[in-house]
Amino acid sequence: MKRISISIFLCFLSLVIYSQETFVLNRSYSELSFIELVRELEKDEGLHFYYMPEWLDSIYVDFVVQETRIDDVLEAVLKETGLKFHIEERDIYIYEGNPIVLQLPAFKSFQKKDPVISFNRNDMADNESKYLETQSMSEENFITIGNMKNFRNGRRAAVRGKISNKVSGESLIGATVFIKETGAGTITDVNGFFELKLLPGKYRISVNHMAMKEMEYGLNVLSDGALTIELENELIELQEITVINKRNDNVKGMLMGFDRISTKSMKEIPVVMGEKDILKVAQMLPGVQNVGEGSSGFNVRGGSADQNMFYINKISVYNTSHLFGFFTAFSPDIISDFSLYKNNIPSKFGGRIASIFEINTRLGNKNNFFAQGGISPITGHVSIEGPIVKEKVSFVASYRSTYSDWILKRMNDQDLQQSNASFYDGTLGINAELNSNNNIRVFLYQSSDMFSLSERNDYQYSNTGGSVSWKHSFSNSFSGDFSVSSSNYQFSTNDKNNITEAFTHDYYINHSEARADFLSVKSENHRIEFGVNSILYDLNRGDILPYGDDSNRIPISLGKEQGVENALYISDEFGLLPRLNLLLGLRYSHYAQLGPVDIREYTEGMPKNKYNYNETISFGSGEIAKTYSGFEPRAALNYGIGPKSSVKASYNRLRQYIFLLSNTIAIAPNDQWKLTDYHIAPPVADQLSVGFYHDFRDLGINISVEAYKKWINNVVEYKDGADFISAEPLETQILQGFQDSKGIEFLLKKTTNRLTGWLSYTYSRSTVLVDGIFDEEKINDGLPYPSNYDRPHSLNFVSNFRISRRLSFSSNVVYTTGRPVTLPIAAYFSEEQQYLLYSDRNEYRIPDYFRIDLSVNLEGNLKYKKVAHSYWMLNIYNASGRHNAYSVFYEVEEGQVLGYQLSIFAQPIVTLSWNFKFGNYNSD
Amino acid sequence: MDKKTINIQSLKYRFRFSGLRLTLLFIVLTFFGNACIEPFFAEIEEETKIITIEGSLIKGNDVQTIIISTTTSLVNQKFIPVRGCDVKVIDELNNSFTFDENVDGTYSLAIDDTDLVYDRQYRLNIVTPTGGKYESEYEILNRSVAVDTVYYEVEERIETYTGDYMEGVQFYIDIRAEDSTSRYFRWNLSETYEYTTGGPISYFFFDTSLEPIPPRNIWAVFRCWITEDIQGLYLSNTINLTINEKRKIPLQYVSAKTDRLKIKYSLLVTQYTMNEGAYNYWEQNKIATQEPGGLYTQQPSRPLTNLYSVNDSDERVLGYFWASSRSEQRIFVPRINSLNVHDKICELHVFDILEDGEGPFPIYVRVDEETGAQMVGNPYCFDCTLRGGSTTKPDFWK
Repeated sequence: MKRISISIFLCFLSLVIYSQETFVLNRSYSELSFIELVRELEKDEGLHFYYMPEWLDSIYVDFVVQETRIDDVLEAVLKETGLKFHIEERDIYIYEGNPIVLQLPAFKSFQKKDPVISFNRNDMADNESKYLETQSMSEENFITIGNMKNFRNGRRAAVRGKISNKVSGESLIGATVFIKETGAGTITDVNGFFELKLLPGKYRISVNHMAMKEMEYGLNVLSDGALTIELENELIELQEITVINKRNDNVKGMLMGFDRISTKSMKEIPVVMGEKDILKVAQMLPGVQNVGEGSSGFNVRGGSADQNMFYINKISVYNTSHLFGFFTAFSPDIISDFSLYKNNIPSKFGGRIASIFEINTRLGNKNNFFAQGGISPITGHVSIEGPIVKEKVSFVASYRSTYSDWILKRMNDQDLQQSNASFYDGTLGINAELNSNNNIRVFLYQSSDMFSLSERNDYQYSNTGGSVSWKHSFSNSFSGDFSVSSSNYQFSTNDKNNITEAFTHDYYINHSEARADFLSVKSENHRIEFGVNSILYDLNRGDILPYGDDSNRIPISLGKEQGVENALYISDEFGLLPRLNLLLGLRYSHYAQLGPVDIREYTEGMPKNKYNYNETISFGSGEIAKTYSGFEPRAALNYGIGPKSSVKASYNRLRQYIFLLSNTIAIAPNDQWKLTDYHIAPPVADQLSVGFYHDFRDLGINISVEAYKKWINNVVEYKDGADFISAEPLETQILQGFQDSKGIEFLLKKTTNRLTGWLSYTYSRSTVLVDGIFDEEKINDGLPYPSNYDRPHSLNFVSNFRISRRLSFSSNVVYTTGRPVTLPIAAYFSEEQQYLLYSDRNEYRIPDYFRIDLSVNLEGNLKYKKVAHSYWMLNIYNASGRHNAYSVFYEVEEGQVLGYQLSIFAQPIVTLSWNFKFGNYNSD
Repeated sequence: MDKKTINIQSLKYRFRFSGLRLTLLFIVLTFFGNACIEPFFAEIEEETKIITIEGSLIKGNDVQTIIISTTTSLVNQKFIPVRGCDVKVIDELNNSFTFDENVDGTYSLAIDDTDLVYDRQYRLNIVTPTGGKYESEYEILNRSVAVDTVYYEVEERIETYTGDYMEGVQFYIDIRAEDSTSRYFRWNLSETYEYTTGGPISYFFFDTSLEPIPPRNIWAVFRCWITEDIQGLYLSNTINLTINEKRKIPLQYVSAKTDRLKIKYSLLVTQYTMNEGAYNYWEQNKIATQEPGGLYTQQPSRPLTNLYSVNDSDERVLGYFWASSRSEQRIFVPRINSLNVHDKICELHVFDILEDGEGPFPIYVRVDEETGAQMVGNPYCFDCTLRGGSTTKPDFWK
């Protein structure tokens, strides 16, 4: 080791007198090792030095000082070593690397608690400055957390931070914070806060957020403390497609089967009719499919559409589609991002067995007013946002509506002119950051659809909801999130096909939910979450009433239902071994069917039908008719094979207490949600998955392979000819079976440079078995059959190529195996007519599905200070014009049974849409 | 492949789209402007041979008929009879009626009306030559309900593929019955219409020479009446209604694009009342042929039959044995002047021995009244019986 010997002679006749802040030395030394000097000073003068011995053991000093300040001494001693120091009262810190920047960015309340001392460049020696300039991190990016007063060696410090948008002041949700030295990371919560537990020391952290410039900081952690990081908009990366796993990392995070996509990323994905649509984007992800173009909802890993829970800012949404599903009932302008959990579902979620789809809306600009919107051939949409109280309270509101009536009136068909179709959705969000410990959000949502077909059918439905949530920090490491929400879904239909039989039907469900979620961060790799939630369901399946004076329809009351679902959960995520992280979670859910209700008791050992019941039991208002409950374990592990690879595994159990009555393949606008009850048990799913994850960081490519197997008990199926608007109780029409799904999903994502996007391939199978005791309780003779969503091969390719800052091209390529279908396999004659004999259920498939979409995005002038920005989007949906079968049907024509297929997008659909932004605002 | 664009209006009728499916298509066509229907061929490899027994006991029919066949492949559809069966109907008093096989697979018997008693139960009993034994459950013989009203309205439609408007006649029926009678109805339709060729036959040409037609025969095959059963299942029920009455149930649509409405048209509606089981069987058959792969249709179900194999309870049997009684109503549609009925134009040309003389024979010749030229053309333009009609005026024709 190189031995550095430093000789100094200082005779500093200072006028500065000894004070509390400055310690003055009067000594002389010769050939003394610096470490010995330190020990002597510690012993004699009561100073404390903090340092790494290996830094100092090669330094020897020769000096004589009189009345010289300690800082001048140290400066002289350490001048040539590259080491730096910091003095705080009697504590002296010696450190390597960049100087400590003690001036924290604005985060006032924390500054009060933790006064910091600033260093500025002018105080530094020239060679220090030069040294620093050669470092990758600039001095502005070096942050000290806490102070020496509270420093305790070996004790973890809670580092609490907040990340916000430098321009708008908006908190950034889901920004990732990554400690390079330890490989640990976290993500900011809904209010932009994050928390890490770190041993005192120096770290390099990188902070990243979709659409924002990535920032790197040096962090010197001394004790508990806080910081604010402001990120700038990434003005250049406009065409970026980002799929970000929560807790940043494909490799390091605990989550599996999880995807998070920002609206900004969606902008570049080609869409039908120029509408950004989060559900359509979700369908491009591995393991997510839908049954056909324009069908509402989607199917996750072989599950039916009602096995997915949709939350928009904690409001549950029971119908997510406009116009049957051609559009999604969430305006793109207001959405910040969405998260889809397919497995390893966090313990705080429950109630649906296939997936949780969580939509976050934008918080609104706290500093400036801003508007954006757009026009496509079908809709116009606009949103505005701005401060209510500057820097504290912001609002954001959106509205979208179709001008389809204008289209209809152009049709020269009388029936179409008498028909109409319209929809709208609107939101209002208010975000109040009362102080750094309290944040309140209020959100209101409504979507509505109406279509009527001439003199035949009218459909109308709407979702309405509101939520209030309060996020409170009890301490640096412990926070709570309390919310109440209420949502209503209702529909009404009129069937006027026959005047004597015409009827009207109104339905509603109210979902009222309260929840409290707590997070305690013990250290950077130890987090505990726990909480409680409670849902009250109040639904009325409605009455079938005669419509019009000529109708003789028998009025039927389908009945009201009430139920309450409560759940408690706790989950603990911790590092067990240096590379092994575990997550153990347990959720306990309890559901009670409440009266008033009348329930039939069926004869034991007989099928449940209208002939086999002896008595009816009545339960009074509020009385519990039936309960179901159980534990829902959630476990996951992540084992790092190296810095770039990991293996993960997880096990989940989920219970679902509500389902959709639907015996058609796609969800219809008059499908009723129904609670589990005395006779109908809740579906329960167990899912096991394993995965391998690897990052090619240099290339900006992540890959993952996930395999899963899922078992669902009590999956709901229906007897042939089930009729949900008849007076017969549903238990006589519902069958419950077993569903078995398995699959393997490959995903390759590229998130950097000009070409971004992803390629996924999924092989999956899903079968259903309904094998009751009696013949009428069997489907397909009690043999397993492919579920409606069994599409073994699925390939999705989403790409975006940026030609320049203003121009980009993107494309989708979709291939899936055709959906299963039951087809006629033979004909038989009866009374000289032919009838069809069908195959086993879902034995055949409609033709494979293939589609290419292309789009071109042209941004207007990108001048930062420009008031209005606009961009054009040209989309070509189904560019190859392939006739993808939507459905098949058979006709008997002149004694021959002929098959037909219906394709609904039988040629390329070209749309041009225009979008604008007012206000110099560029988040998103 | 034969591609066709579709018109929404026509779907309502041609493919019996209704409700949600129709609304969906309406949305597609309105907003996206294109949809396409084209032939679909599935590769079905299965070979099935399932026995099919179609039988009814209709009080009021002269002859009762039971038809026994097996299923046929979709590719090569043909009727495959099961011959040589022992076919018996047995009533609840154990009276037995044995049927005879007149035509292959078709067994019939004239049962005396006094043996067909309302509310009495009957069942079918079959033994095939290979020893298969099949029976039905007891079926009650339903009381008849008189047909209330059959009527028609002139309505516009749009043709499926061309999108052209067409006019025609839509028939409707009303139900009006006592609450005590069955609420399940089925109708069989039979149409009869009068039509003519373009004119008389003057001569016919056989081999080499023109033979004059005897004057009494000049008009012999000019005017015909044809009666055909209309395909399709016409079913309705009143179970959702407070009273056993229902109005304006659509039956058959007759387009003015054919010449059926040109002179006079008649529709015979035979109404049957059914049991719930028989009705459900037919209704499920009807649903099954609609759109099995549709997103807004139910999975095709296996219609529940009342027939079963005595030897093997797992064997599938198709068909249904039902007992009912009939009532009829016939309605006539005279020439409607406001309707632009398609006038079938026969293109005739002057007879040329070199071009036309090769046959097939006979070659009919009509002498043009104005020019005296010998005109020839399609034989259908001369002989109305070639279209399947009869020159005998039906008894019921008014």
